[in-house]
Amino acid sequence: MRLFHVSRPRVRDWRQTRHGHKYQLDSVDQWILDNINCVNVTTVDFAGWYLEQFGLKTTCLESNSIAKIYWPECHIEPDIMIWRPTYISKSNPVVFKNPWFLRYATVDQLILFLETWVRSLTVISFETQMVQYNYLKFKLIDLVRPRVKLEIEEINNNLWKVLPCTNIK
Amino acid sequence: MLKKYKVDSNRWRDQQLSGFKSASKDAILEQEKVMLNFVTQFPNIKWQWLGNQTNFLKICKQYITIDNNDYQGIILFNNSTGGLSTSRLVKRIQEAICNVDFAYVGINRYLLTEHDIDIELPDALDESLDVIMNYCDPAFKRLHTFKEVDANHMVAAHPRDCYGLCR
Repeated sequence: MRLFHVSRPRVRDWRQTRHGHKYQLDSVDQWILDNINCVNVTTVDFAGWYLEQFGLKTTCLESNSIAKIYWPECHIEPDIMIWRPTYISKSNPVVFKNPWFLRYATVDQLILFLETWVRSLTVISFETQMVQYNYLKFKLIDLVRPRVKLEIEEINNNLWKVLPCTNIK
Repeated sequence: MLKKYKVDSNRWRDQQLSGFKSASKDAILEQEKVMLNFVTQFPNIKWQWLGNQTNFLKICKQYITIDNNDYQGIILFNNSTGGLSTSRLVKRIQEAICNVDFAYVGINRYLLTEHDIDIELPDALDESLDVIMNYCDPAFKRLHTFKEVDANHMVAAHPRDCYGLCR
């Protein structure tokens, strides 16, 4: 059900894709297509194979084996948050879109996730407010930046572009 | 004849219930129990319902008296999708409780988007909510703290921080 709930909030939209229609691009998709120059991308747990319809070559990771029904080539990885499979390229961009495991995650868990995953350009679309911190008082990026050796760019409130730090002494 | 309850997957409560295979439409969610446990402590009080219009309202009528015209307590919670500033939240709560001695308030913390009243908040969000509720009325006592949910089943859930008022 994660496939339906998280990346496709309305099941009706999902079913349209199953019937062969192109999935309507949202602003994050559009940003990806406009800003990622590499054709090969890794999409993590958002049924990202629809991006193939827009010219990308995807390596898809999913946390639930039900995804195999829809995209047999995808890899099933149940512990995605804390495990970066070794077969995932360390140079191609990685995209996370609405990762369910960041909902209600603590800041410590978010940092561990970033340290585990960011080896190349990593795009994370998530509801920052859903991470457990005091968003009435702080900005999440201000809490995370000092604690990681990563270059984090906030594209907007819900979209981060993260790169490994190139300035490590 | 009772109208058959229709499950609507776009509604928050139905989404939660559908996450539990064995749950029936009459099931009471954990956070709803918090509310019922509080309000049933006052059996002689009539309550105004300012919560969502869900099947839970029908369930509550089995336990408490709900009268939106003649009441001594209010039940306030919602899951609307719009953002809420702290000033609007305070105003809403203070208006709702101004003429009553009893209240249950459930806050969906993820609806709060902005702090715009002149009180300093502590670093922790839990404590900040306590400060805000204390600002509404010092008699508010916390009943329940949102901590975490099983994201696998409750990905659409927004459990509440719950407060009770008994003046």
